Amino acid sequence: MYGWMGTILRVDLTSGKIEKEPLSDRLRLNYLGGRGINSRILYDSVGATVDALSPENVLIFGTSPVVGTIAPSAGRITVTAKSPLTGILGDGNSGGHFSAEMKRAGYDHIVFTGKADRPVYLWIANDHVELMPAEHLWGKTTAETDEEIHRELEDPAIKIAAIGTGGENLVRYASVMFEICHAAGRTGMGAVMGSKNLKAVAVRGTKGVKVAHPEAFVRFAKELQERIVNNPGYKELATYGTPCLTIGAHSRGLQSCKNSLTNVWPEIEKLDHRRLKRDYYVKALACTACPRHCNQAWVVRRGPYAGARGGKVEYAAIGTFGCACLISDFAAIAKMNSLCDDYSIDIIEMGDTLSAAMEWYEKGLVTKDDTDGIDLTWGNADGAIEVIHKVARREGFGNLLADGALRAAEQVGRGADGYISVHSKGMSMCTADVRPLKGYALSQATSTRGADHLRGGFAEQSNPLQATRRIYKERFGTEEAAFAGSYNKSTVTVYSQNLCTLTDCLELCKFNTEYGGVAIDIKTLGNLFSLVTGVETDEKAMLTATARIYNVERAFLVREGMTRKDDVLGGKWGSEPIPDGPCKGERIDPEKFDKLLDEYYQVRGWDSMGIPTASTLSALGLEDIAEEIKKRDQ
Amino acid sequence: MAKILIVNASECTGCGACELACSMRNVGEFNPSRSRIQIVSLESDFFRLPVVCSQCYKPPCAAICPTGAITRDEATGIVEVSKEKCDGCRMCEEACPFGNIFFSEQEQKAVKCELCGGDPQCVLFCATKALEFREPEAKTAGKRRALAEKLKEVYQLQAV
Repeated sequence: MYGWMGTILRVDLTSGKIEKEPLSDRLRLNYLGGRGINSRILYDSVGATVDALSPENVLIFGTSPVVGTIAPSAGRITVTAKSPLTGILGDGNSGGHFSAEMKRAGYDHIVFTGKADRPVYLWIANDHVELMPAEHLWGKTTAETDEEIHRELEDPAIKIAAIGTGGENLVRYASVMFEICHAAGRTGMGAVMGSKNLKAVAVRGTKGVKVAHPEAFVRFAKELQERIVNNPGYKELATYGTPCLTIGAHSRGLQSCKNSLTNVWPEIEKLDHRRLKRDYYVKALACTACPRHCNQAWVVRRGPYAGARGGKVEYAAIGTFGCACLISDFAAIAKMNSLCDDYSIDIIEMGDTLSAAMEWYEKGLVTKDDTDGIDLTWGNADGAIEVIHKVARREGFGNLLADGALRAAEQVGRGADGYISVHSKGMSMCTADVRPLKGYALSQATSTRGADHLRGGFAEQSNPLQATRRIYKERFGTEEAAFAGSYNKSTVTVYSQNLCTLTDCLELCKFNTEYGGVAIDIKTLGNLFSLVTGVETDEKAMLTATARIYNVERAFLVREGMTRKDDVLGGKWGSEPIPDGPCKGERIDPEKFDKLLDEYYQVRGWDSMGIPTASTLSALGLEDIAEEIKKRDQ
Repeated sequence: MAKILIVNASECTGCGACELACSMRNVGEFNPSRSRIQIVSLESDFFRLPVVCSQCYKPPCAAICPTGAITRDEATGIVEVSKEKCDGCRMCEEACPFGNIFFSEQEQKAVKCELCGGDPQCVLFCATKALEFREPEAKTAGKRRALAEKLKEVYQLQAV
């Protein structure tokens, strides 16, 4: 077998039993790897009655056939379980070097079941797999845990995934942190880890990853690297990391600020990426085999947050803690970022929840009596930092916010949910405003893990070039789709979702695909897959595979009770126009969006309620799921 | 003058592409643990250093080798291990001050960077030019230039 290592590691935390199971042809050929295989295992293992924080939930780590090779950025990992935040499909995806190490230890996937009776961590050294006591690590930050395990096992090359206090205390949006600074952030996978008393996974692997066509593969990998490095967007991201996106988004009117009360915030200048590089960045670092090195290690040298440091601060942190909460001191944002990493808390959900809380505070829905005396005035960084501590410890006001923006709003009452910027299926998303980008908005509303920027949607221009229009016509059947504001977005959105799905199945970085503006599309990824695995494929087969995976995920959501009514954007973005700035007045027109949803369902082969039809499922080889849906309807 | 492998440590991002390229070229699989070039990561200091044989002018590994397996090609400057002559005594590991020649369990021989016969794959895949394959003068000349760039910044700051 080429590409895949051919083994799934199964760890039952209740009994302590560890088994190695061959990766079946059914899984690898139909679901490829990473997110795809994870989602199918989840579908098969976790039914609608299972509570996400119960031992019956499973937790799956997934690499891919490409991970560990020299294909650019072939080193990501998906962590999957039922989500404690949304109750539906949960998955977080992370970069770093853990995934390649896990692959070299010989495992494509790890499936955790049950719950350990006391804190443990899993130690994998190639064939040796052992559950280790972790009582002494419980309560420690992810950085302390990383250091302690390295000391204990005496090998600096070990890669570690861990949770901090946030995961232990079941913060519903707790992340899993890889090598301290890389987060599988979304949907609360760290809380599932915590619910299983699993503090960490440490892995060391020295086996080789073999590919079917070595020479052609290496040549192709080099060609892809060239495409990435020669892309016009490469230099900015390689020099400044994702914070380079903030100023551009703001000047185009796409940066939501002050919990979406405004898209104009002059103080954003203080968060200009060029200033960050000058004052805080110390070193560019990269994930496995990635030429883009968008991680910028930073250090705060002076001021009240002096001494804070970390491997990277993403746009997500600047957009939420900065723009949404009006905190313009980068040192404070960086400090909040490192706290979230230490505690293993998703920065996006934390920031969105915080900014909503700040507006509740302003409007008097919560007062100092509710916030344990914390002043939640816009821009009060120290108040925000105090809240993060309390969330991780589930203390007082923090306990309320630890359940996420929507659940907290229910407790606050008096229409508090209306103050949330945006949410879908129970999850918030990052602060790049999608209201002017209808395809992007559709993608968030129909995403299988709730609102999220990494599930699809291209950032089209309001007035695209003629050449772009022609390409769109050729590929997606209509020139109109090339316009950001057009509602003619069904085919292009399905394509972009499939592209993101395939990228997640191969565990590559979306920046290094069409999603990030690089000429690497589904067909190219199919070639890569073939050269690695030796499995003959083409664009059509790849489209079928991604559609299959998307439908399995959708079926999981359907089983949890999701239908058309859930394929919407909730909060301000779903109902209010952009108040000011270059995109003033842009909104999601409910009627037009509803019609677009019809068209989208048609392209997907789903009925008018958004449920995959029997013929769609059968055509994808998912007769078993078709049967299950039929039985449910009877 | 034969080219040498130049390491610009400050440019290394730790992506590991050099190790992957090396292992594929030399042992036919992607496996950093079998790579002749090794990145050392000092995690907490954000420091990454690719460590690789510098093809010494007077190689201590060759001097200690009891079977004469290690020789330096005068024309290319490459220090090579003869697979036929190496008997796996591991004394070369002892002699090299930098850990750049080591015993391969799989091959039961000493292995080291031999510059891929003059076309080093690690350099081909290094996206940041942390690795370069150039004339030896480039190494010192590059450092002098970097010094000048730094001083330029200092002087300009003072002028403002």
